[in-house]
Amino acid sequence: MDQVSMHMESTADANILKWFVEEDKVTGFIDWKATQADDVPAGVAALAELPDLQRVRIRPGQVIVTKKESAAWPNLAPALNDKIAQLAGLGQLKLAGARPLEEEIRSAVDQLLEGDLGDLAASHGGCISLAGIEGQQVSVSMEGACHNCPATRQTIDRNVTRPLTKFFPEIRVRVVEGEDGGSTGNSLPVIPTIGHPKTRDPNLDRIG
Amino acid sequence: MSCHNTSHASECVGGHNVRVALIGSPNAGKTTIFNGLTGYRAKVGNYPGVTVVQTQGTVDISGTEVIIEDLPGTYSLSPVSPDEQVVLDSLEGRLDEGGAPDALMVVADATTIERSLILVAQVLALGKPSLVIVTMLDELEKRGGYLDLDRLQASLGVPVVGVVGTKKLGIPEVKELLPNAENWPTPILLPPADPGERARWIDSVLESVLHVRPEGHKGSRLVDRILLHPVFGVATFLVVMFVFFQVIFSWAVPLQDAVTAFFDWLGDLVEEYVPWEVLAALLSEGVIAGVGTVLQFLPQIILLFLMISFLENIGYMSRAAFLMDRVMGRFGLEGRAFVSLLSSYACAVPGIMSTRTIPSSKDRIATILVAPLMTCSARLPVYTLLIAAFVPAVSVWGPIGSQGLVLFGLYLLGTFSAILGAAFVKRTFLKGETLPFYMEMPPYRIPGIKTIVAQCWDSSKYFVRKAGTIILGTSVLLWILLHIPVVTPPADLDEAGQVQYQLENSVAGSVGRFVEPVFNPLGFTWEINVALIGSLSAREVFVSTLGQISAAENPDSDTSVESALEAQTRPDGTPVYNAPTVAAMLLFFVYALQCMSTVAIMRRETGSWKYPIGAFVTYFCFAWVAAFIGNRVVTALTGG
Repeated sequence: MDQVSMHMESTADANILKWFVEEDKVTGFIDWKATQADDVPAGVAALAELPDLQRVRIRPGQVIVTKKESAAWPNLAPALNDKIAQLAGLGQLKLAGARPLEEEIRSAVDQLLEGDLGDLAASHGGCISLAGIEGQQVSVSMEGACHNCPATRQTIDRNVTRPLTKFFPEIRVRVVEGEDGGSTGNSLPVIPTIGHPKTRDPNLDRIG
Repeated sequence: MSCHNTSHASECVGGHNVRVALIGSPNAGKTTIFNGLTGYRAKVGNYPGVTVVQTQGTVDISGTEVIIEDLPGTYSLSPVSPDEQVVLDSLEGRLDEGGAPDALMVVADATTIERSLILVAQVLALGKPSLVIVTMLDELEKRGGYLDLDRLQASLGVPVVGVVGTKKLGIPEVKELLPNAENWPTPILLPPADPGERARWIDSVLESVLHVRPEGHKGSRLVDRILLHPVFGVATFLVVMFVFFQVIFSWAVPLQDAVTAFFDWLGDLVEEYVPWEVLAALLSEGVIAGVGTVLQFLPQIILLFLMISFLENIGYMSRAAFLMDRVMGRFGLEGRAFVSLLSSYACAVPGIMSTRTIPSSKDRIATILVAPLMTCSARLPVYTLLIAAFVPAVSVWGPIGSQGLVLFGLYLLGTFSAILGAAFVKRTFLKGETLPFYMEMPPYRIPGIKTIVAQCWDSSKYFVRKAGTIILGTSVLLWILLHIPVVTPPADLDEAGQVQYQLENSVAGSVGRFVEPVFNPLGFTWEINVALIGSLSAREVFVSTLGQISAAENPDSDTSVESALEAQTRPDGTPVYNAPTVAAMLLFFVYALQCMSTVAIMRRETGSWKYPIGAFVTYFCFAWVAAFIGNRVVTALTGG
């Protein structure tokens, strides 16, 4: 078993803890939810065996765990820590290519849009959502304030395409019209700050 | 102690108090933070091991009494040195009546964050409410390093505050957080305890905080290439030391003359205006001649402390320790012992206390045992008085004078004796392995004048206070003992003879004469014996007693103590202070452990009477033998 360099961080959500693990020990994108009976690779299944887990997400270099509301961390966190160290040490969390490409891309885009990019869009009264995946062609739609926002292109290039390209070199991202046609929020142009190097979130760097 | 522990619930209403421990590695800026938080001016140094005693400060922040404990600097909580043991004991509440602290503040140096995080991890692993203070951020930036504090806070799971100590940035933030210390978070997942796992945890955290290691301090590296060079470094070191002693001896003279003139003037005033004769005599002979003689050395002592403080703050002391490590290693001691010995040039008490940074207990005891041989500032008055009076001031070579050389020689003798003594004990009853030596080389910093002056003032204040308490007390006591019982001298004696008769037959005189058989072979008279016995309380008393006796025996003369001493004669008419006797006195003071404060601190630091009593007796025997040999050799040389 390899020794693994890792540490845990708490997040704004008290139910979510995030483990940072060496990037070559944790790869791929997976999103396991207790409510869905998905087939997941053995490594994730082994993690999911621990009690009181709601959701386990794998990203390159990260394992993000959501516990059930009713559970408490004190016993769970050390158990998870040991388990992650063990699985990563055994190479069982190297999950890139473990599932069909489309599914992996879906997890990746979901996690990206759910993360800080999603928060940013929401803070501006908008929303970016996944419209569909065909092969390596990803379609997103800009809704609310983001609809027709002049910064759309730049934001998508910098915060969606670029991080994903690192893991899926062939990926293409295009913007499609949302179902509601947009224009419900205010239509003032929004200046994106997320791509600015000084305010760059290293989490995104690690995803992409 | 926190509120819920107090027996009276009512105490909680107005005054609520919190104990917070301040932990950090040596030289991380911990003391600066302590001072910034408490307003207390504790000593800040630029070499490891300044905080050797636990300091406590209390601040009242919006109705909450916050007690901050400044713990000794430590690199880790796995105790290697006694210093580190103190930290651990105190964190676990084994040390003082207050019990374990309610919360912990750990100071991390941003420029050496890789290492600082070891301590941070260990402190967080204690599972107490914690706060991390990151210092030296300005220096990190200047040297091209980077560290994201928000990310660090997320990684550690406890609040992180950046502080620039010298500019007081961040201190208000910490103050704001302090009253609520009991409720600071503890990490959900404690950092790993296993050293290997911890190292990997640190790697992971460092990556997460986008850590960029700062470049080495360019200036420091350049200067160190010369100052740590095996040849140039040692040469520089010798020059520094030599200048050190020349400065003490030559620069202080004009100031010293001024102090002497002041006390002469004061003495004249007293004799003129105090009507009651006995009181006038007590004041002029006992107090002014006694304490005044000692205080005339204040300029030298201030200079000594100024230079030590300057060398320490600029960062040279650590280099000196590093250079000396090779030399000390040959004698079974490590470089850190050298820093302790160097501080003993000021006073053996802080020197002995600073041995707490030495990890090996055998090395530590060996250093404690030999520290009293280092020429402390209390010996300076004794040496200076005797040298100025009895060593002719001849220029030996250019500006290098014979008197300075003799003084330098006495310092060298003390230092060599200390090192040889250490080698001896390390090879006999304190045999043991020398632990690997590692010491931080702090970057050279231009010290704040305020810091240096403040430090120098603190140390000098100690000397003045000592003069005003121990030395004053002993002087007055000795004066009284020299004048009771009042005897009636035979009528056929002249005035000087009558004074002499009174002194000789006083209580002190009788004691001095009683021990004459012991000191006779050294050429000491009963007057010297009295001064020697008095100097057990503090070495300076030797000078003040000689001042008193000579003032009493030469009541009319306006001459200095030096010339009064030269005028004293033995019953056979030869001068008391002939060359063999003076040599014996100097040598006696090189070795004798004439200082009760040192004996007390040895007892405290070694935890037993075995070492201080052993050292006292051994050094007395050494002193006697050395003085005897000195007396005989000089007698033979001068053909007496």
